[in-house]
Amino acid sequence: MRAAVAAFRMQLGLAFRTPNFWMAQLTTPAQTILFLSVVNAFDRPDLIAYAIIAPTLITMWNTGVWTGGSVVRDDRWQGRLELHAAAPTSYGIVVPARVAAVMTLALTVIPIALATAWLTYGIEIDVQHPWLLVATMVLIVVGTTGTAAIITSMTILSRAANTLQSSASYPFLLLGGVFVPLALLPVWARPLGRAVFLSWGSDLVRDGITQPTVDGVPGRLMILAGLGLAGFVVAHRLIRVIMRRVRVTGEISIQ
Amino acid sequence: MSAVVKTQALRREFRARRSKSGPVVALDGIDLTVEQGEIHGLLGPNGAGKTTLVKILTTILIPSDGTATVLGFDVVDQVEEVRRRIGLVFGGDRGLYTRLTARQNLDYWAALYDVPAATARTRVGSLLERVGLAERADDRVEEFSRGMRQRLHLARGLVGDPEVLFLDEPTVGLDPMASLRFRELVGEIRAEGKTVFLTTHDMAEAEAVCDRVSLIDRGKLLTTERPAVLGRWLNRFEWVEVHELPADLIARFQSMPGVSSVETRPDGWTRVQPDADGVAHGVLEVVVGSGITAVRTGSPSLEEVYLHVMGGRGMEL
Amino acid sequence: MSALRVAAQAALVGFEDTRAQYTWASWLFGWMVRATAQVLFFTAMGLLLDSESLILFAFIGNVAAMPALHGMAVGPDTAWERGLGTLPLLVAAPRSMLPVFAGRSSFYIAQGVGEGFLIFALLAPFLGFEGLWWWLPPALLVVSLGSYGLGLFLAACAIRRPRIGNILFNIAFWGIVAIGGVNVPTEVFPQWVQTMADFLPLHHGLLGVREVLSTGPSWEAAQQFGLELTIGAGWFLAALVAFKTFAESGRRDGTIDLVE
Repeated sequence: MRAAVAAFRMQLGLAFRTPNFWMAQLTTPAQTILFLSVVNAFDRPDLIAYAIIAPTLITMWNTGVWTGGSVVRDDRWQGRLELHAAAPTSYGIVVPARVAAVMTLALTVIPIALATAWLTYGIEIDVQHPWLLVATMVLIVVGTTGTAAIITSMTILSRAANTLQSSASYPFLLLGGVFVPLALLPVWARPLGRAVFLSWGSDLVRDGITQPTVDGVPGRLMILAGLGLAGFVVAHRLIRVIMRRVRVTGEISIQ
Repeated sequence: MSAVVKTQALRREFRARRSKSGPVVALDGIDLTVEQGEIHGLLGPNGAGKTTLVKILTTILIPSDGTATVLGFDVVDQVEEVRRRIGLVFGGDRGLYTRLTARQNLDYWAALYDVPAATARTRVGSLLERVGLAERADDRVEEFSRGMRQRLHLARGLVGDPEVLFLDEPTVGLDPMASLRFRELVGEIRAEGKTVFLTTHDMAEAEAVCDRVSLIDRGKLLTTERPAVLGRWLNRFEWVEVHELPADLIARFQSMPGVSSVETRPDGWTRVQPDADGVAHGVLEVVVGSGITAVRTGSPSLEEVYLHVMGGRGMEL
Repeated sequence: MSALRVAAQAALVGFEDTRAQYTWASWLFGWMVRATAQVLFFTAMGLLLDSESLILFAFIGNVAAMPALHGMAVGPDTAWERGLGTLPLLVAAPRSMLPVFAGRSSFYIAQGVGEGFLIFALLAPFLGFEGLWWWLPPALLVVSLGSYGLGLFLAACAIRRPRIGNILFNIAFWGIVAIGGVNVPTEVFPQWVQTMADFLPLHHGLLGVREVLSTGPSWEAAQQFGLELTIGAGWFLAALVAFKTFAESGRRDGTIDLVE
């Protein structure tokens, strides 16, 4: 536990000092304007919340995949991976903790998107179910952390880590129903999307903000939590298996 | 004295992914013992297998065959026990979080080595003091010189208060002053009762710091000796090179007792290699007495020491 | 060596660098999957707004944004040049750095046009596109050339502080996509935003693309492409000045040999 907290704090310190980390936050205003301009052009005030939620989730997801996904690669390139392998604390604990730090900082995108909407279009969001929203966002952070931890752990074995990171962004955002709900996508895409925790999270966030009553909250939260935590568990196990395999093949020494 | 590190018939192969040839044998049946409280050097050229051995002993790599134990714990089956008791220091620039401060780096690793918070605070402070970085403790590592980074590496390796410290080419790339300072630190560590295992390709460093030195080449352990013994081999093996040595002198040296080889290179220099005491002096007398002035002498390189050791020559003292 | 020869040599280096970075598999299953999904993501907005015209509008807009993305990618690429430590050697060379950087990244233009057309060809049949698609490649080439100058200008800004290269690039790209008529016509924005878009790449080029896809070559399309290239040339000149300024100030304060 202490090691996980230390890893979390260490990554916070690193993130603050890394300009690239803030890139997602800095592009959020432009993306918020992009979605709001579309919704505005079609005179659809009922979709304004969608237009603010989308850039928020895009930023959080991309932060997880890119910055969180770089944790292991950076350790490997800088010769720190072997030092972690020799330490008593499992890398399977360190990596999720560090990715979680990145994701927690990514939450700063929410006030940025809200401020952009207010400054540009004078929009103020009225949240129907604040606690549902908070719970959902926390679970989205957990789920994104788990998924990003899986992606970053794959970079230990894969020389083409960039390939994984590239293909893990927009395909997931599309199937995750981040702007266009899954229910509106082609029928064949829906089962795929339901396997992505993000689709459950996107629907719940939208409902939590816009709907007077939300159906099936406990079940949907459980599915979101289950899928998200499954990612965490898979990442932890995967890292252990990968580290063991790398010790056998010697690939950890390949820089 | 008990054995702190023990390997038996230790073997490690690597399969090259895209190569059509067979596996590369990095370690070939290593039998090595490191005693408690000693500074044990592993000396060898690049590619000899030094780093591979360190990685196995520090649980980063699994051996292909044979066994290795550290403090009685098997490096394959009792990994956690080994990791809790060792420290590891690599040479070179990498391995630190350069955007963090020295203190932040050590705090992080202290937590990963299960050092309780209060103890970690004190220990980090005293380690920084010890390696001479106390005044720069809160500066970012990216501002540090190479020597400072290497000292921070050493502090990082000690943050878990290990019983055995593994140093893999710790002074590579350091200037002489920095190297000297680093060696002094290593000496202090041994004085605390810790065991140190150090790899290097620098003969002088091995002699200066180590209680015993093992020679390794192409994955095989050649011998383990005290540095003084190795030093004596070096004196004996001092060679003489002559430019445009006449054929009659070449023939004379070839048949001279105590000369192991006479080889002429395309650049016109002939090397006369003695393998007995006092022979170099005799060769020089002959050469200078013949009026030849283009002469030079020198100690053999590490590779040349190996050739002789592997050939079984010069082993008698 | 003339500037053109220097640029040609540099282009070869840039091409080899990209080949070293990507295999066919990683380009196809990594980058192309992402790029296609990105176009689809914004195209799908039409499903939510229940508008077929938005689907096609956003589709063409986001396809055209691909060459713009690549054209501007010179920025981070150049910051990498600095990280290699080769920058001092370039500054010491007798020629301006500009032909080198321009040539180095010129392969991005070909890549952007090719990818944009490929994505279009993949998705157009499913989206019910009916238009003069054969005019798309040359139209995309104009778009890519138009954004190249801005990319180089950003590269010059990033050269003093390479860590911000990626950030500048992304802010600029998304800013242009937001207001440049990619997903909605620029007329929905206030006048001052429209004016800003007028002086940035992509906006006029995209109008030309839409025109030429629906009616073929026309005076209207030629005007828009002309404006796009003029704006691109303007940014190119700005890049020239910026590079020269950087070289001189870097020599003065000794920051040129920083390797980050």
